[in-house]
Amino acid sequence: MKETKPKLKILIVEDDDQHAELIQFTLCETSQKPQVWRARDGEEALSFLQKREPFPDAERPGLILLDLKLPKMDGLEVLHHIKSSPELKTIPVVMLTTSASRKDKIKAYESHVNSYLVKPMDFSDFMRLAQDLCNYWGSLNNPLALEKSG
Amino acid sequence: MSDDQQPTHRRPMSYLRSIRARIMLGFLTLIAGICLMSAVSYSGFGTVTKEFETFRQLNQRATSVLELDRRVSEVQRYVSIFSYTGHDSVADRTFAVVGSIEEQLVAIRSLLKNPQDVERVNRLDGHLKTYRDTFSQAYEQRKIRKVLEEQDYPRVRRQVEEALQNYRNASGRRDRLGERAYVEISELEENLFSYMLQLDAYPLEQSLEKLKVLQRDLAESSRPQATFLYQALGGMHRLAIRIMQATRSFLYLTGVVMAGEALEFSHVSTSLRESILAEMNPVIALIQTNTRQTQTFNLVFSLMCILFGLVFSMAVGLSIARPIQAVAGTLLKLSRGEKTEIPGVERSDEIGMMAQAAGVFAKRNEETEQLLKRAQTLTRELDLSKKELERSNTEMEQFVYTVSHDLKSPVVTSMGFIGMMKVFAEQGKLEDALNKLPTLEKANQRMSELINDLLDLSRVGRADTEHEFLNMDEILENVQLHATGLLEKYPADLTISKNLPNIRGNETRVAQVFDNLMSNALKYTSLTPSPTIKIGGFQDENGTRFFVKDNGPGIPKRHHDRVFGLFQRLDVSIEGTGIGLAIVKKVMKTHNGSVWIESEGDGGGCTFWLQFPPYGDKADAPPA
Repeated sequence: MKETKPKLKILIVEDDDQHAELIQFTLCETSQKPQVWRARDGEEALSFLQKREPFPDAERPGLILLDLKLPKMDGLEVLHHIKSSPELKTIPVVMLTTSASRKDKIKAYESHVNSYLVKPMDFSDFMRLAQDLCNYWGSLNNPLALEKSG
Repeated sequence: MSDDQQPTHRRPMSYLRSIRARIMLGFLTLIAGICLMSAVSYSGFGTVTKEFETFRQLNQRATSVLELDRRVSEVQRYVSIFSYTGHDSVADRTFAVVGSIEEQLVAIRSLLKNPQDVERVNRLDGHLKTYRDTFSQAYEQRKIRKVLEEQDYPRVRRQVEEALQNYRNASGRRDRLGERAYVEISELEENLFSYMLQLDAYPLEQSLEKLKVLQRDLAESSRPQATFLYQALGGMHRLAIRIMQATRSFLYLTGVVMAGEALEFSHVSTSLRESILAEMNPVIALIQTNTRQTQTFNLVFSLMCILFGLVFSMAVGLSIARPIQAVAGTLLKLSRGEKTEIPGVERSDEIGMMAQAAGVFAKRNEETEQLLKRAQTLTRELDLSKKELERSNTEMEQFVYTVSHDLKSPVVTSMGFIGMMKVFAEQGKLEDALNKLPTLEKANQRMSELINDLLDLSRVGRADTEHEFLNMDEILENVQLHATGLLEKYPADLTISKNLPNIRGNETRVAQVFDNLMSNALKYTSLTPSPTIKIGGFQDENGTRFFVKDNGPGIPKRHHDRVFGLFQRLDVSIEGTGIGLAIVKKVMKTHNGSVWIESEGDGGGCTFWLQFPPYGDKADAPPA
């Protein structure tokens, strides 16, 4: 059963190395053990998604975890690019940021983000969040999974 | 101030030249004109009234004279009635009327002044006297005739009757003479009465002749009866003659003398009346002339008064209205807030007072305008302050938001890594757990750095308000000294110009600015081969400028403003809190200066420019 179920592939867009490591760690600790890539900024994330240099062989992720504050191109801008592209807009995007500001939340949902989550301070909360993410988006909204099952 | 407060008391108002006085004068002149007109009219009417009184008196005299004439004709009528009837009452009435005429003559005489007229009245009086005397005689004659007629004649007639009766008895009925006597006596009697009524003398004289013939015939008879008849007839003849005489004298008196007197009286009275009328004519003419003169004079005088009143009232009215209009116009202009010359201030009447008051108002207007301007300026300043406050509020919000976000980040890291370490420890991977310790330490260190830098930023412009004269050469020497550690980590070719222009400012903060800029330059040129940093400065009329120039990757134009924001970092791989440039910007602001970047960002290096205000603006002169 486990082998037939495809692995959830997640792209993490995060400028902070420590945060990226933390997210990666928590995701790997989940039962799904998804495959994880990391982009350091918005431009890199878009290059990865559009399979441009230096990622010509990049795979299409099943979920994008996007930080709001990014160097070069910020999270909202990346989100806008994804949601306005016909090929990419079906990929679920979850905002994962330290900002709990209502303004940021509204702006993100206005740009058609699929979910908005605040990075929890407590580690066990972080673990639970990673598990929930994998559970929900892995089972419901995995185009690859649908393809295989179909 | 007291001079300005009492401008109206400086020139005392002349009562005689005041508008009130002028209006009063106008009305007084009007009343005087009306009085004069009334007086002229009154005197004119007085003259006419006097003339009219004269006319009335003359008219009364003329009427009296006419009345005389009427009375005289009345008397004449009475006289003729008397002459036929012989009644005493008529004679009495005649005398009474004559008496009243005499009285009237006396009254008329007293009224007359003209000697000719008085003479005429005297003549009238004379004629009247003659008339009355004549009437007295006529009255006597009439009385005599009456006696003859009523007493003598019946007696004589009876004697003749008797004698004739005797004669005829004696001589028989057939006696011709007796018959003739009878006829002729009857005829005589008839003619006598006829004469008394008609004064026709001829038939009576004929009868008397016939009677004489009869007498003669009787005389030839010798009979006693004939003699007796003869005597009786003789007596009758004599009586008839006497009656005739009495009638003649009476009729002569009344018909000739009295009528002549009456005629004469009437003639004189007519001439008197004419004289009076002649006297009246000039009076009437005078009245007419006077009336016409009064009328003309009144008309001319009234016209003159109207003309004068018109001219005078127009002059007074204009002399009042013109300056009032001018002042009213000025007040209207003042009320619209226009600035204008105020006419009539030099006048000494009410207009002058009004003009002076208007001057005070104009001054108040100006003061009010200035106050308004001041209020507007204050409002504008208040608006600016409000905007500044709003901006500062927004900045504050932004600051809190940014700070909370960036401070949370290391906490998330710390907590996360501690959790990870715990997991590793549970799994027995102690090595892995220990490997996370440096990251954990770094995160905490970063948090501490952030807090320190934020405190620093918050202190800028608050704790250090002292500005002093700064020797920039000394300051940059210290900055270089302070950066020795960093220079060892990021070696670079650092050139600092000498004899830099001096400025005024806070030493610590200015040093911090250069420190931050130099650190940035050193950090960002670390990847560039042969990094070069140049620091210099110069002075011009706009103030003092410094620059920090490097040959690093540079900053793209679109990020020029962003990099001065809090926690804005171009490259997260390069260490730093993202607060340094925010501090630079704030320090420059507190020094009334500015900071900007000159760079294209394509590896062509980057120049930070600092502009300080010129000496004198915010700085004291440098010490000698």
